[in-house]
Amino acid sequence: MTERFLDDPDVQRMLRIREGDAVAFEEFVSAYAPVLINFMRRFVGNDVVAEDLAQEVFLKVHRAAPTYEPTARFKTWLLTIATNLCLNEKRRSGRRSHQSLEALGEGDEVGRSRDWIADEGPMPEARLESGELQEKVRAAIAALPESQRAVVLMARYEQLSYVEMAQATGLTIMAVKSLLNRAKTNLKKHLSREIRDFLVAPPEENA
Amino acid sequence: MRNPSDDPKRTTPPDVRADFDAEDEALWSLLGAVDEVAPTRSFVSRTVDRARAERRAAETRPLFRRPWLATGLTAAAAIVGAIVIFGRPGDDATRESTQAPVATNDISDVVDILSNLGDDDLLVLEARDAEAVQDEYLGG
Repeated sequence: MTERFLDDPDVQRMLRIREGDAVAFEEFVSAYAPVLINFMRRFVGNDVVAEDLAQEVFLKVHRAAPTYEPTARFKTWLLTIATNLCLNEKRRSGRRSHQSLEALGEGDEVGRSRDWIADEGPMPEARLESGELQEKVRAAIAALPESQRAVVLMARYEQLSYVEMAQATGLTIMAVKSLLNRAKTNLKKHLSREIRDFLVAPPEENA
Repeated sequence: MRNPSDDPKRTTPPDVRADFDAEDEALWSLLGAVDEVAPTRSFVSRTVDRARAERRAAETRPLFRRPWLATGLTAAAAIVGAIVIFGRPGDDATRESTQAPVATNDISDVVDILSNLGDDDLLVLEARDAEAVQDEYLGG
């Protein structure tokens, strides 16, 4: 056991789950359901699939609890499971016969990643609730290859450092930096006009 | 539900932000435009219920669906004069299942039981001293 993670309240709760504390598990699900569902939603672009995958992460954690040892920050460990599950889902959905979504038509790896996204665009309610910007941002994230998407989601929405992203993906720090740089480059291509507008307008107008 | 972490200057790890230029900062801010959703109302209870069901199943699974274990255990029971009890799942499968348990140390019985298992059937094994279960399961 790595002592330096024992101060993490999430690790302490996980140790309670390891001892069979059902209340601790329910607390954990309540606390992390929004995090995992939104992580999955951004990753797979589909609300229903996102909830199913998030539930599977919780079940995997529950199954792994008896042998849990805190060897990383809890959130990093959790996102490792979540990312692996997303990648497995990609492989699984890639084998399905009805995967022939329209190619993006931009060549390179950006287009290649879209064949497993269940719903490329924003979900219907999002179209109603949000504006064009949100739709474009979601489409840009969805168009990223899954490995780039994973590090963008971890860095931007889950506040993981390079070291933590490397732990979660099993890559080197240099590889993570490279992935994130390529992801930013691809996102900037998709959002060039929005970025230009953002830079021209005063920041408070964009807040 | 808005993204609560839409202030990238506050939430992005310093090592990541250290590599940013002005375009990166703008991009990071734009990414905050993606909304967040709340879990459906029943999500937590459904997840907890599924986990509990899995645990209950796991607690009685070690001896399930393992023909080699069933036959091996039965053979061992025959040698030492013990009895193996087979039943369907329940809190105490050998007593509360809807089907009567089978107590035997005869390999042919075990083969018969295993060959008739359906997908949803779970096999519960319990090894007991033969004399101790004689009255209870074999009618004395």
